[in-house]
Amino acid sequence: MSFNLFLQVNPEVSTSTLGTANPVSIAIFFVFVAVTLYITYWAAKKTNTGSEFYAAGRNISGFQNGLALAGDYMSAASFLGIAGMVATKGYDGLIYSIGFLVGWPLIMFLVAEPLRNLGKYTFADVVAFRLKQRPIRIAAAAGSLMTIAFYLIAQMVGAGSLIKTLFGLDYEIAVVVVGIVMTSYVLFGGMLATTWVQIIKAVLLLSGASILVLLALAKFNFSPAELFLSVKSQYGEDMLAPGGFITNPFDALSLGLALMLGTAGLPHILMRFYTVPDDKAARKSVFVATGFIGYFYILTFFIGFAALALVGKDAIVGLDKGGNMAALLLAENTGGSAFLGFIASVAFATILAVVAGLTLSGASTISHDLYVHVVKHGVSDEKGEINVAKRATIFLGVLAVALGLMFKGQNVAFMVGLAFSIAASANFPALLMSIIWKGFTTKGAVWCMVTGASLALLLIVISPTVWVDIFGNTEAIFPLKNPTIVSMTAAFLVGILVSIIQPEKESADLFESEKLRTYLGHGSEK
Amino acid sequence: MAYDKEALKMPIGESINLAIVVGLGIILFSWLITGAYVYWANNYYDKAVNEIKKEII
Repeated sequence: MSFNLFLQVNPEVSTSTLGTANPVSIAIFFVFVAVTLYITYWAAKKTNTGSEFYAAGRNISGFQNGLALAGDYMSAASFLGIAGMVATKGYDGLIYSIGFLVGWPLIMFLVAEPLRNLGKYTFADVVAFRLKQRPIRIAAAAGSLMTIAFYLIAQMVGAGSLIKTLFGLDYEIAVVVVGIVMTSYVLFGGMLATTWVQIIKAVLLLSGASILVLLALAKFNFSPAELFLSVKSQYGEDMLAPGGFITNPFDALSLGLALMLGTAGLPHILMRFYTVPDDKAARKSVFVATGFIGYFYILTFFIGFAALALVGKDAIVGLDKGGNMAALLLAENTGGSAFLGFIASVAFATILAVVAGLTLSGASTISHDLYVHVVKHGVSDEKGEINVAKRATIFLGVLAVALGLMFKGQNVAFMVGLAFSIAASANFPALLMSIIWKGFTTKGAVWCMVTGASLALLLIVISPTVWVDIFGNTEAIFPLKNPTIVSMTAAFLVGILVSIIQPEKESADLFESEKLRTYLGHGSEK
Repeated sequence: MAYDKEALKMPIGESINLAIVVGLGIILFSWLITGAYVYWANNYYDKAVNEIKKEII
């Protein structure tokens, strides 16, 4: 093991220290785990009731929740992926991140305030507010659990391979470590610990990325203009302008819809809005989150270009075809192997925080939606509910490790797209229509969710991403890489049609009182 | 954005072109407009809501 090797531009034989055990990154990672486990211990003492376990006692401030939301959004995939996209494709990488960001505040306001006012712990609370509990809870839980499962698989496999690349640790050990640590966060500390882990990680990630940009800009006399000039002279001015990113407008639109509306259907993001005291704080948290996410994307834009100028395209693509290692190579180039270790452990912490959030939202779906409202018909004592939630957490932790090991070495990149696609096609339409449309019925909601989830799943299997890339067929049955544009439209149409054919008088009658609560916050959970 | 690629390449100064300014501008703009809404909602809309609430209850 040697730590003094720096990058020379030789793509065939990478001389980066990536992939060897880096003592700095291991030390930082241990500090992170120790601090977060201490926070979990502190949170455990404050986590006794249901509202404390699922929603941190609704005591998280708007600013804190904004940071946590930003943390949920700034996954390792977007940190490494978008910087890599800018480093390989230039300006087009920025278009991608703008697409992510622009829809986010709009959609969040559409669902955040009503969600906070109508629900208790899960988004099914909102859909089932004036509809029949059991069928809605079952369908919504199925949609949630599918989204969570696919997202978890992608994160666990990503965690295993990332840690293998970064620390040189075995894939299996990495997956088990991630599983144990994140299960302890959720099991003992509930939402309070999960939120603080997310906040710490967001601060680490934002400061790490800021330092990285500063160190890189220092090489250009702190002048972005000089950085762009260097890129221009090395790679031509087309790198700095929009190019051929959008090859198929339908595919781009479909992906855009999945990312924007899917975010508003991801159970672990929606759940965050229950942790704040009122709708005022919910709004404030969207504002804070938008600011941090926007800042973060501007940073990744600079990281990508700086990597391009300082590390060189050949070295980046030589190590990883998608350019995912651009940020890490830049860290090594500007700050040496110690700084590389810091950025690497931040990436690891990022994955830990995201899987903890996913597991918590899965556990609350199982206990709150399925156990309380389906098995117990809505009558259950709080102690019993928390017991089920804790058992569900352990179950999901074991499941996450098992899935991570099972899918080792598989191409799981499509599963993130699938998770977003199901969230946008099953969860989001039902959530939106239940909030704004008086005529929406129980049957309409169930059929809407079933159509959205099954169509998204089916279409992605016969799309180029799975049918051609994984099953090895020559031509895909369905032409688009992302099915959302079809599956979401179908879910809306089916939901509307079924509701119109068979109106439900009781639910329409309850709409006025729902509206009162949606817009005035009258009677919402304190 | 996809329709006028040439116009976006228009340089501002010697190395920064319009595309970069527009791109970063959109990010900044969406943040500011979010802030404007939150400010309005928390200071004016909520007051109106509270008055309606008092009338009802």
